[in-house]
Amino acid sequence: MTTSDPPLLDADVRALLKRTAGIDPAPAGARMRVETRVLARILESGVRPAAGGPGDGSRAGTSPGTAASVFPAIAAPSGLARRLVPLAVSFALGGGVGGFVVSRTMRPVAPSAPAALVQVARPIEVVRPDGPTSNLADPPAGSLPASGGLDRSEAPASARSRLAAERTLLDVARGALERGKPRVALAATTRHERVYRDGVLAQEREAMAIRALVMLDRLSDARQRAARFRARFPGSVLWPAIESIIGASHTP
Amino acid sequence: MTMLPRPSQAPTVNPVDPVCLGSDEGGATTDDRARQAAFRAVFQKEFDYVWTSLRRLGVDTRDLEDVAQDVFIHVHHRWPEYDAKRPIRPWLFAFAARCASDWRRLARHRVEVMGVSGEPAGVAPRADDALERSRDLALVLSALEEIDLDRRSVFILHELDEYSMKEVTEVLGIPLFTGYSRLRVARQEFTAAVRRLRPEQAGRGET
Repeated sequence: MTTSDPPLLDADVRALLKRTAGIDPAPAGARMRVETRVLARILESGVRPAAGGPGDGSRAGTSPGTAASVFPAIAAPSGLARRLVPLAVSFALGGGVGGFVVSRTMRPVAPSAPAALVQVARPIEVVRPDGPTSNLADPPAGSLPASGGLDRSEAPASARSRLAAERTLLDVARGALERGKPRVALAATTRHERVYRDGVLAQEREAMAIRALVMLDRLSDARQRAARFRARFPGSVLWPAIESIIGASHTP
Repeated sequence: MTMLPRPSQAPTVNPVDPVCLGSDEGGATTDDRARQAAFRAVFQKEFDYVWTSLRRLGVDTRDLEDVAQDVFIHVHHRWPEYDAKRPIRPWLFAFAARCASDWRRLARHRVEVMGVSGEPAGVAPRADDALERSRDLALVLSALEEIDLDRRSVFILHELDEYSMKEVTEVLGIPLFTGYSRLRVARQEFTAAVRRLRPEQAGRGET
């Protein structure tokens, strides 16, 4: 199916995106409520700008002094004053009723709170975009229904399931490439090709195979495979990356 | 998992027009004051962008304020790492994507199709335009909902926010190749979802 997929979005889909690409204003009041709560949380929990590396999963710091310094206009030294701050802010912004509401709705989070970033009150059903992992041996090539005929409730799950299976295979190849084991990577792409010759990730497979061939110094094979890729997937967004791999292999 | 911006992509400068900064800081250093003012100004200028991004990332309307709050708490925490030579929106988006991911993972919510929020938006276009755009928006949000969050982040930043793939992959901390791969699959998924959902939505609109 990927061979017929256009590299770019269709014109009508692109137009749809263009019509909705703007930034919508948040509902009236939301900005003020969030701002007040952000200020209050910084003040209450003592969050301070940290020097730690992003993506490390660390929680905010707990130094109270720096928290107040971010919004000095409302910074208050005592516990009582801190409790009064949201009220004061809210009164300043919207009157006494607002102050009462804000003081009731503000949700300070203890510094020792668990990793959850957001606490919510409505646990329902989890919807995992990744979908369930699937049986790798199951889906024969070409079993994915055409997107135009997908049933809303089932087809996306099926497509995602197949995609997950493909990804599992190619993750082996990707990991092997990252570890500098091109032979393992090539074997994984070969397995993928056997099961999902025209799979959703066929282009990724080919690109990884080409990279593996280059790493194995099989440059002629890599170029031939790249040429086949070019012919099979004209206009692929992956082509610049492949071209750069092949091009880099020319340089001494 | 979408990663937050990396330290190497980070820090320094004040990105905001000083005209809109407050002057209420007392006792802090000049740098501190500039940084604090910049954070406040960015909140004011970019709140709607973060709000819109969180909607696109599938956060339920009812939880938008909570998640937006978390985004800005994290932004504040990492504020010294922001590099004003780079556009701020992709940087903010990385936080939004991370918070949306955590919301989705931890909250165990059913993600519902979102049209407009419970409260009226700040701008009121003509009724017909508003209705049509509202339908389009609901369609886009529904279609986005069917894309894995990692791929969706790339798609939103590139297709809707119109950042280059280089900027997108840098801010998301992923290789360029991976970014293109995610974009390609996301395009397929989004197109398929629109094709499937559009007639259904058109039918709803006629009733």
